[in-house]
This record gives sequence, structure tokens and C-alpha cells, in this order.
Amino acid sequence: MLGKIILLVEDNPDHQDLVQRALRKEGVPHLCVAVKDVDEAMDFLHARGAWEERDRKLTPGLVLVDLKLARSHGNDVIRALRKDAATRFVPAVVLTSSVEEQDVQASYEAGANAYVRKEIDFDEFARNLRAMAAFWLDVNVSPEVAPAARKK
Amino acid sequence: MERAGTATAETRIRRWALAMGVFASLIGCVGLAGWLLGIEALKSVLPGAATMKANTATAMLALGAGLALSAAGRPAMRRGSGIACAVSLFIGAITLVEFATGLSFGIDEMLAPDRGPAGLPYIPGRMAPTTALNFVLLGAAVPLAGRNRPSFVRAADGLAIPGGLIALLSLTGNLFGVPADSPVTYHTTPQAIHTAAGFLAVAVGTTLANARHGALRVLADPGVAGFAARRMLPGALGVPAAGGVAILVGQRLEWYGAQFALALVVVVVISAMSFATWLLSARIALLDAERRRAERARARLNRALESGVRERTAQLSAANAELEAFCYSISHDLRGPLQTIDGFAAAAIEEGGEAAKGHLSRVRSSAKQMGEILESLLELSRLSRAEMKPAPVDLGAMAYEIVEQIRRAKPESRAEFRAEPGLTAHGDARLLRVLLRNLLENAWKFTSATPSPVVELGSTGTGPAREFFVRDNGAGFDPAAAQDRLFRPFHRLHDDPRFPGHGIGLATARRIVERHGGRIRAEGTPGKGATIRFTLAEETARARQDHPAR
Repeated sequence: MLGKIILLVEDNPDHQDLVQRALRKEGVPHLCVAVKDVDEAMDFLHARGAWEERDRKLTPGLVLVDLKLARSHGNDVIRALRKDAATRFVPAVVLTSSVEEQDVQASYEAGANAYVRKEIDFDEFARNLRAMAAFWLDVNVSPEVAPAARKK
Repeated sequence: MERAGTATAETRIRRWALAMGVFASLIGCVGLAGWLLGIEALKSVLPGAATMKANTATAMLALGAGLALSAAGRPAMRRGSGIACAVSLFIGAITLVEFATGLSFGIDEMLAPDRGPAGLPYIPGRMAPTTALNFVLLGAAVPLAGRNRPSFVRAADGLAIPGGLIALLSLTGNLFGVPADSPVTYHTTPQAIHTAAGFLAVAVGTTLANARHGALRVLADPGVAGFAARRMLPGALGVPAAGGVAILVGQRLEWYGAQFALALVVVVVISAMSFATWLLSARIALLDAERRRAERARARLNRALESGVRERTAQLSAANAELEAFCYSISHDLRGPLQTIDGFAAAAIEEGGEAAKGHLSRVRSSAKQMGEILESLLELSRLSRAEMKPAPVDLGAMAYEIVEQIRRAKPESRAEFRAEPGLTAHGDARLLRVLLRNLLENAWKFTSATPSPVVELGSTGTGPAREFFVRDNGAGFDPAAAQDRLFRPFHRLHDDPRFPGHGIGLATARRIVERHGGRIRAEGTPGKGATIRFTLAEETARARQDHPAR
């Protein structure tokens, strides 16, 4: 159970903090790691660069992606995940403030598994996060990725 | 402008016809005076030339008067014109019958005895056969001229033009000393000079009186064609005639022989026609240049207009794009900070002291309120841009679903809800749902302080005039203060804390109704409740009225 973590791709440190607090408040039993852009996300997933020393036993069971990142777009992160054999099946959920139709569509085109709006009310936001984590990490079954593929 | 031009041209032409008639009757008078007073010069103009017979003079007087009366254009004169023409036609016809049958009805010397030199080559007092024929032709032509029936007009031209040609031939023949209609048999006389002139005048006058619809209608044309015809025709008639006479006089005076005279005629005709052609071309060239200038100016104006329109369109699309960017920015960029405010305020409440808790819960409620405003604004802008997909919508069923949601969200509300059974409308289902939700939520909100709240959805009228309404028995409003501001964004009528809101709900409702081509209005009494009425089908109704067949 502890081996599955949440990877949060979010460039705003305040919001990184808010997600962590919400998960803590709702008692979600999974570790959440925050990275700020697509490169760092891929570095973490492949345990390289700044993340070379990380515990390789930890597997991301859910990737939360903010759409508006300082140096790239959230959909780029999802596309990078989908192209990589090691991560192409990992559940990717867009977590954003926009519910514009074209944004929702573009994210699904990029390969998102779900699209969730960040509620302004913190309590509601926290409840949504818990429900999401519970579904994707505890209820949903994702295919196991072979270690060989992970090496690539 | 153009019509005035036509009118004056027509009036001028009619005046010419009148003058021709008067001229012909004067000639008749002259001839008649000659016979009655016994003045030879009045009978034959030139000594020894053919005389105008007394009958001819009479008939000419009648014919000229007929034309003048007809051209004067007064309905009362038409009758007199008809009688006068009938007289000349009758005299001509009787004479023709005399010629044809060889009989004499004794009319030839009825007015005055014709005591010509012994051995007259013709029956005394009897007019030339061409003269008689002309009276028949022109006597019939004049009453037909200037009528509105095309067949009459064609007949008038068809009679007058041959009559005119006969007269022209007689006239030129007389002028050139060769009676062109010289005796076919020794029983006849040629047409006299002034008789021919009178006929010519009547023939020209008749075709002129006929000009509105007849062969000479180009004369009345208000444009270049009429201008050219009016300018050229007198010259075309006058120059060869005058030139011919002058040349003839020269030949009579034996300045030159017949061949040279012919050469002169050729020269006169060539120069006259070339000059006329040059004059006309020069004038048309001027008009043409003017027209081309006008066309270029118009093209320039059109181009300027087009580029203006393009520019405005570009500006509009830029403004639109900006607006969309603005909405996007509201949706995305403003929500972020708000979320941070609320999140950390929540954290501070959990971790901080009592006083801080109070302040921070205010921060949180502000953040929440701002979030709701953003939400409503976004919805409003999204509605304006959304594509309409009109279809029949069951408003009643939709309303019950919405009421169910409202009751779930506000379990404390006890409002009773009624909807007219089978209430359907034609419109975009998504937009109509937003409309109903706004109106019903409003009704719920303003009945929250009412003892036994009732909210109703129904309709009045049928067809295009059908009006839907949402009625409640809640707080109501003061109509005097309301009408203008009720449907505008961010205008609220209540500052009562029991009825919170942002003033966007009814603005949204109006936007939706207007996008359906309908109208929305509100009725209210303070403390008694409010009714919001709206129509949806105005546009289609108007379209149907415009094209009843479809």
C-alpha cells in the first residue's frame, strides 16, 4: 500500500502546500510528491537527475496535473507520460480551475483519465481530493508495468 | 430630376405640334382668302404655279385646326378636333371617289368658281389626287395621335408618315420647279406649294403629338438619346433643304450648270453630315468622360467603404478575442489566488487562536462570495458565446428536476412547487435549463421568509404570443424602483441579508431569453411576491408574419 504514491505536478508552491494540507486533513494514507514541471516529473518517474537518490520502490499510482504551469502546459506532461512505455498506463488526472469546454477536450485528447476542477472552498477541495485518491489508488486496478519496461 | 426633364421635353414637343397645326390652318386661311377675295398670289404663291383649290383651303383649315386642338391636350377640345378632322377627311374622301368613278358631285366649285385660263389641264376647282389622299391619310391620323392605345399610336404614325413623304415630295418638286406629282392624266393638277407645306406641317405635328409612345418617342427621352435626337433632327431636315434651295437658286441664275449643282449638293450633304457627326461625338465624349469620372469616384468610395468595413470587422474580432481572453483569465487566473486565500484561511482557523478564527472566517466567506461571482460571470459569458441548438423542450419536467436539486441543496426550504402540465417550449435545452434554474432559485430565495411559500411555473396565451411565467409569493419588489435595473448585471434591489446574491441571475435570464428572440419582464408588489414573464418565439413569429405563404 505504501509503495503507491501521488505525484503532483504544480508550479505554485502555495497550491502544492494546499494539496498536501488537504490530503493530510482528510487522512489520505499515501505519500504525495510535488514537482514543478514536465522535466522534473519525468526525472522523478525515472529516478534520475535531482531524483536519482529516491526510493525506487515507490511507484506513482496517480499523477495530478495542473494545466497552467510556468514553463509548460499540463497537457505536455500527460503526453510525455503516455509516450513513455513505463508510464503510459498511469492514471493522470487534470486538476485545474478552468472548466472551459476546449480545455477539457484538449486534456482528454492528450490522454487524461479524468478532469477535476479545483474548488475555491478549501473544505470542498479537500473532500474531492480524498474521493479521487480513494478511487484511483484503492478502488481502481491499473496494469502492472514490467520492471524491464521501466528500465528503458 | 429625370421626370422633370421628360415633362419639359414632352411639353415642348406638344407646343411644336400645336404650332404646326396653327401653321397649317393659317395656310388654309390664306388660300381661302385668295379665292374669296380673288387674289391670285394667295392662291398659288408663285405666279403660274399650281393653285391651292378652295376645297383644299377649307380642308386644310379644318385639318390644321384639328391638329392644334388635339395638341392643346384639353379633353374638351378633343371633340372639336375630331369634328374638324372628319371634315377634312370627308372632303378628301369625296374627291377621291370622284377621281375613281369619274363622277362629279358638284363640290369642286362649291365655294368659288375656278376661272383659270382656257383649256385647263384639269377639272376646274378639283384638288390634286395626292391632296385628296393626304386629307384622308392625315384626317385619319390626327385623331389617332397621342392616344394611350399602342395600336392607335402605330396607326397614326403609319398614316402620317406616308402623308408627310407625299407632301415633302410635292414641296421639293415645287421648289425645284419640277412638280413631282405632275399630272398622271391631264385631268389632274399638282399639289400647290403652300398646300404641300401645310401637309408637311400637319404630318410633322402629328408624329410629334404621337411622340410619347410613337416613332418619335426618342425625342422625349430624358437622356443622351433624346438630347441627340432633339439637337440633330432640325439640322438633318433644315440643312439639306436650305442647301438644296440655295444651290437651285444659283443654278437658276446660271452661275453654274447641273453637274456642278449636283457636286455642290454632295459637298453640302457631306459637310453637314460630318459636322453633325462631329458635334454629336464631341458632346457624347464629354458626357462619357463625365460618366467615367463618376464611376471612378464611386469605385473609390466603394473601396474606401470596404476597407472601412474590413477594419471594423478586424477591430471587432480583436475585441471579441480580448473578451474571451478576459473570461479565460477570470476563470483561471483569479480563481487560483482565491483558492490560496481560502485554503490558508482554513489552515489558520484550524491552527490559530480564537480572535484570528473570527477574522479568518470572514476572509473565507469573502473568498467564497468572490468565487460565486466569478462563477456567475463565467456562466453569463459562456451563454453569450454558446451555439444554439433549438428543439422542443419539456419545461415542466425540467423544472421538477431543478426543484429537486434546489431542495437537496437547501433542505430547510419548504416551498410548494406547481407546474402547468405538459408545458413545452421550443429552444436550446441547455440554455433553458440555466434560465429556469436562475428563475426558480430566485423564487426560492425570496420566499425563504414567507410563511407558506408557493412557486408556480405556467403560461398564458397561445402560439407566438405565448408567455411563460414563474410566480412566487415572496418578498416581491417595488416596480417603480425596479424596471430599469432588474435585468442588468450587478444591480440588486434587496440589500436584505436574508436574500444574498450577486445581481447576475436575472441578467443571465435576460441574456438567454434574448438569444431566443424573446422578451422578459417582471411584475411585483412589495411583500406580495413577484412574477417574471418571458416569451421565446418572437423571432420565429415575426418571420412567419413576413412570409405568410411559407
